[in-house]
Amino acid sequence: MDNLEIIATKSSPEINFNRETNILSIIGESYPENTTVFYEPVFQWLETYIDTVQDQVTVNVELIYFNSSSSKVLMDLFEFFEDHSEEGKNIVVNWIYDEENDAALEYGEEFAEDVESLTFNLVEK
Amino acid sequence: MAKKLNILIVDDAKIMRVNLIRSIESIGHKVIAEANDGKSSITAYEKYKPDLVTMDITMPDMDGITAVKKIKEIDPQLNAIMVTSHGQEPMVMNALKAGAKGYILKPISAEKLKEAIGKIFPELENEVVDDLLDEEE
Amino acid sequence: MLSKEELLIQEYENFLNLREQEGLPFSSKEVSTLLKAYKRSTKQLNKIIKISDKQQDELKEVSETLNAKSLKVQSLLDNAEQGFLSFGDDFIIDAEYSKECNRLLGPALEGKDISDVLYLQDGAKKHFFKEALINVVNEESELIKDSMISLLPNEVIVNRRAIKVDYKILTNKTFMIVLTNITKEKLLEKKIEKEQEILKMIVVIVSEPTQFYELKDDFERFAKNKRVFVNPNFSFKINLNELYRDIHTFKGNFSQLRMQNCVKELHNLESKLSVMNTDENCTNQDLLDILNTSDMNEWMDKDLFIIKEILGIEFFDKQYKLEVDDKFIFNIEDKITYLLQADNQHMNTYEGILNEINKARGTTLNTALSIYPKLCQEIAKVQNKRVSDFKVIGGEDILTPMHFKPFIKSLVHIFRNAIDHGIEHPDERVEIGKKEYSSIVCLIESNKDNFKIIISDDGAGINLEKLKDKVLKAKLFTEFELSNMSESSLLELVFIDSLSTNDEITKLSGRGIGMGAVKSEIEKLSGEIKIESKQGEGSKFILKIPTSLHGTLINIASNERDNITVEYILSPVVNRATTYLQSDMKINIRNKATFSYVLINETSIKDYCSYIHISGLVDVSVCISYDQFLLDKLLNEFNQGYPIKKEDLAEYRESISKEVINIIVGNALFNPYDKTVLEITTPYILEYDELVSHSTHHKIAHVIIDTEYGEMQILVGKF
Repeated sequence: MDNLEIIATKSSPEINFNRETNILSIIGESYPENTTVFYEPVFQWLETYIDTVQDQVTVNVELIYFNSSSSKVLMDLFEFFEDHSEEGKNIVVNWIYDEENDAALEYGEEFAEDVESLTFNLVEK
Repeated sequence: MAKKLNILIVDDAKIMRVNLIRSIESIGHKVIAEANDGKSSITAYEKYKPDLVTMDITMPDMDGITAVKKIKEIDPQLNAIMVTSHGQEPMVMNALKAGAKGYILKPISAEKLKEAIGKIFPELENEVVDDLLDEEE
Repeated sequence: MLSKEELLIQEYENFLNLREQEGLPFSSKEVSTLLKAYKRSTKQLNKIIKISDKQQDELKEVSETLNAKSLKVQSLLDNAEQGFLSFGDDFIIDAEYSKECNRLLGPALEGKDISDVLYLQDGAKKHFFKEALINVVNEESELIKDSMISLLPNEVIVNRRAIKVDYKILTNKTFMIVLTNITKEKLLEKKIEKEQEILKMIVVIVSEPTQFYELKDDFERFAKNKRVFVNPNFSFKINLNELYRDIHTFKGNFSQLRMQNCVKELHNLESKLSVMNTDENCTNQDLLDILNTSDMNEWMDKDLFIIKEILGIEFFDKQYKLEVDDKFIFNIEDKITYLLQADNQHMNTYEGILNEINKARGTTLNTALSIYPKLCQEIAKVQNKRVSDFKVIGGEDILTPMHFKPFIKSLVHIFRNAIDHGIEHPDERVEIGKKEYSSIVCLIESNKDNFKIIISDDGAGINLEKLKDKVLKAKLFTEFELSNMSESSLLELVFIDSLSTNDEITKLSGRGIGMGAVKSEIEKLSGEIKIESKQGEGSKFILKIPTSLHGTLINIASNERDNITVEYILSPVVNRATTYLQSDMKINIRNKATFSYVLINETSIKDYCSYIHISGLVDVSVCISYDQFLLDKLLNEFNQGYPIKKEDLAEYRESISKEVINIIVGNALFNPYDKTVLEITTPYILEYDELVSHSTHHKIAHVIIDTEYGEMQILVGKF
């Protein structure tokens, strides 16, 4: 199974999921024309990956902008990680934001609220 | 030590050429050749391979702009400064389009020459400063 | 592509259908699962909405910040007093530009073509502008881009304003223009240019006044005789050519003198004429018509007005005047005067000439003294005192020759002293009941053989007590001597040098030397000065100067012409004798010299008379004799106090007598401008008998100078 590397565009984030380091990064801006189409391969890869991984998984999310469709996707993603965390996988999610950006912090807090049993960190850049 | 440029001057009026030689030498450069029309300027360029050419715009037979074009065909690296009087702006524009790199308005002065040359050879400006600093030491 | 939820819904729909078909209800477990899914869905939805709301808030905030910043930037630009605008390679002006652009280029600029706005009238310029910018867009080299931009004009005129235009390349396809209103500067430039032109005109005219006067006269004549130009006997063409040539020449001449307004008018006429030249139908009448409608008389007016403003109307008067060196006149005067002596026949003619010369000099005594009223105002101002304006009264008929000048100059001391010492401060004056403004009077009285200058003021008068104190302090006189002096003698103490009643030596009149100078000068003119002063009321200075012929003063109206030769020699000799005794020998002269005319055999001489004869252009003899006491005093002075042996005394006395006459007459007659004229013999001692033998029927001048040591007698005449 390969790593997942999707180059960032103006409206979609960089996806860098690395099996060796077990670091999964989503960086940039997310407002693709069709969110479902964009994130399908992401979910597919995750499904396969999560069953095989034993070590700690670090998920770094650094989005300076995301639209409503993307926020739904993010919630699904965090739900996914929460479920697997409850099943025993060691998963850490880092919501990375710029210290100047109060709004980004608030969004992180919103997401954190719904996944209480997931290790969800708000990290200042 | 400041670099001395080898300059080819092209003008159909002897008095202008004399004036140019004096001004050029006064700012530390050398006139290696003169030409009095467009055609001979091309042969002179090929023969002497100067660092810089000053080209009068209005000359009989072949004018300065055509000459620039032709020389540029031989040597795309041509550095040419057009010499012009007020009112010839459209022609200068054409010369610039054809590849000339600058222009000076008559009457010629050492200062104007220096400025125009300085724009094409910016490293010379620094050298001048270095020279001054050397002198101070 | 279906989402997770959609799949779930589809699953349950199928499940529902199946159950309905089977006729079986849902189990509670199945309902529970469905409910759970629904709950999750709703929760997510709410969350998404919440996040979305937050995002919109954020957006609103950012939008507001952007607006505010935008306004700020706009405000900066609008207040910059420069016009900033931008446009792309389509030359359409962007909507964001500063207000100044509206002021300079007009309203509603967005969407307009920049080349239309800048170069509305000028198609060629518009074209070049657009071409140039297109070339810049297509050019890669920065260097050449800059060169191309620099070819564009930096100044345009839009809506009658002069605007400076700077071009900047923003990106490859956008340009910015910075507009600055330089109308004021341009107008100022024009104004300065104009003033410089005027200055040049003035300089040329002042350096070549003759040229100017000639041209002015020529043109005035030309303008008057217009009709003459069109000679009916000649063809139109010939007349036209003549006229054209004349106008052209005048134009050239005026141009040389830089009289621009004339040049302009002449040029206009020239143009009209040259148009007529090409018109075959023109006749002499047409030429006349044009000339009649051209008011050539007025063409010079503008320039002449300017010249008058700057150089004054006197400049035009000077046309007929000649500037001559003073020395030159003096020389002529001298020569004529000598001729006067030598040539008795033509005496009257020569006198007449001298009179004319003096009239030409034109300085009357009144004029010469008229500088003082203004000077008094200046002095008073510095001292914060008030002096009423006054004019010099009288003296319009008295001419002042050259050698009078030092005397007139010395009078400044009287005025200065009057204001400095005499006149009180305005408040003081008011307190003691005087008018705030003090009055000074300068009056010239003309009499038969003298004239008086009377200068009086209504100040505090001369403070005698202070004067006495100073004299005592300086040990010039003792108390006893002072107590014995009359008031008039005390007043004369003012003239003693190095004496001042001021406690401080002020800049104006500190050392008291001033008044001494006045006395000295007036005595050189054989005059005298008297002071009258009343404490608290004011002082009066009366300066009396005898008039005779050329030696001292000339009265235009005077008809006395006695014995010119003698007169000519007499005054300078007497003056010199006086100053010799007083200044050189420090001998006090007690009274004014007395003059009379005598016959030799009716007079006597004193001791030790020396005789000297003067020949050349004049033929005159001078004799000086002394009271012994006086002669001995002179001897002592000469000898510097050394004792003389009795047996040598006579010899010494003779010697000194000769010496003194030599000095006096030699000095008196020395003329620095013309040294060739007179021959003076060596003096020799004359006895009375010998004198009588010289006797003539001419009357000779007899002068006695009375000193504190005795009298000196001077005889001058032909003997």
